[in-house]
Amino acid sequence: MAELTINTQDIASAIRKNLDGFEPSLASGQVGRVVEVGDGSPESQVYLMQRLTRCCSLKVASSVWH
Amino acid sequence: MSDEKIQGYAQAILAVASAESNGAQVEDEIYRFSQVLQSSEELKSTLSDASIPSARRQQIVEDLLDGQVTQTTVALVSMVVAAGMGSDIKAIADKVVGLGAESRDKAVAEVYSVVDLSSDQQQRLAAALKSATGKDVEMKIIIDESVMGGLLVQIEDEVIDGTVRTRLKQLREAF
Repeated sequence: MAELTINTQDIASAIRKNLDGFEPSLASGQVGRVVEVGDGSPESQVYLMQRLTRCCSLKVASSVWH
Repeated sequence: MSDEKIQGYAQAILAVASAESNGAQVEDEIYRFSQVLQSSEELKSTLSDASIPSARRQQIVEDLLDGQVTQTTVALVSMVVAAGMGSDIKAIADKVVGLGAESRDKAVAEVYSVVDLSSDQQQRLAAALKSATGKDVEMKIIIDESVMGGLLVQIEDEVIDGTVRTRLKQLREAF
């Protein structure tokens, strides 16, 4: 069975060849601000984004905290 | 990643490899590629980076493996990377060789050595391991200079450490 031979130069070359000119399309923007965070209580509802068109409510299952 | 998902991918890979009639070879090639991946943080992080389009990640895999392994292996590794499982290749490969060996009533012995072992040495080691553990083994030789000499063998949860590295460590601790 032939041995698989891939050295660090091969790796660097393959990555360079395929990612050359690649720019990740990431964008940031402000969508609101945090107005309140919970105290860790399982029943806490955390309202994160004031400017969202509808209120986003996150109810954390108690099993996550215990 | 869940064990069920890893197991699912491993079983799918074995099924495809078996359908292509080169099961043992594909198992070995995927295992070897996972070892390459372990040795390169850059490759590991690139293949796991979701911000890089999957076509580019797949092309990196194909460029590296083309001509070195079977087309089945190239396609399977490429599929795993495209599915966003690049960071799980090691776990999947371990499961593939484990399930493959199990189907042949054997256990996998990962043997860490500074130098490659000849087929005669491998046969003698396999016989010694069978005598020590009661299991028929399939060996995966991993060249690892950090062991300095001797061998480290891992079979499932069992580790047999006869490396110079460990003996030197024991000596240092004794004095």
